[in-house]
Amino acid sequence: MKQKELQRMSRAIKRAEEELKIAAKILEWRSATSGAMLV
Amino acid sequence: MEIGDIWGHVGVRLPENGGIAVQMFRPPENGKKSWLVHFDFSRNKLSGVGTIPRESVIYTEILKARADVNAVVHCHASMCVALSLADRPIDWVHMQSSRFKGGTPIFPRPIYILDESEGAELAKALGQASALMIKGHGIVTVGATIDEACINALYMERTAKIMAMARLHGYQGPTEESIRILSDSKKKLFTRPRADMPHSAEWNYYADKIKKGELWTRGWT
Repeated sequence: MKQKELQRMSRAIKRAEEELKIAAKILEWRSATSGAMLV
Repeated sequence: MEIGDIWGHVGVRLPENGGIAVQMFRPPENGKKSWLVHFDFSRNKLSGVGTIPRESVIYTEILKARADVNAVVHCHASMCVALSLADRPIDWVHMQSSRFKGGTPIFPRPIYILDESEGAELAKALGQASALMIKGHGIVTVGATIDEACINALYMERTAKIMAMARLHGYQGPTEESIRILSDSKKKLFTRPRADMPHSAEWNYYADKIKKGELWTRGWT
């Protein structure tokens, strides 16, 4: 595989990982300030 | 609590179909910060932090079965679990739930999805739908993008809460007429110009809050 193609894939994977982290934060159970509701 | 408990995860097909990356909602037990692991379609770990999810076949089998799907969410959305126990699929009942038109399939057995055969059975039950309920267990949502799968999960639980509350007050579920009215209005809405965005408005809203370190309140919906 050409170097350019490898770099493109590596960037795509990095972008996907960043998005996965955001998605997990949007969905995780703490995100809806449930802590405040428990107080 | 919005989308259930700590046990959820979200995954994406890697470029060139080179495997799957999954981000767990919770940190790994060895205390490392972020549980993000890559594995192949035979469930061998390729790289990353932590072990592969015990229910990794949810990802492998759905991504094998659905070429149009690149991202999958699995979590234990509480109201969806409640409605699954009552055999009530999530459906198109309001402006934001057209993605569940026709009703989400319900996987009938309250099991963890652990073996390839169970994963394949789950993928078969999902069919071409955007989401599925696993009876007494949780939900699986899918999308062409991480954004789509994630926001489908968010709206699935929100719609479940709306449907459950409405049913307490006598609502009987969508009718042919209600679907026709919603459908016609949606068509009309999309005749109006809209800015082309790489992400959904919902994604942008929450991603911006996360970037700023802010939390948000969604209330019971």
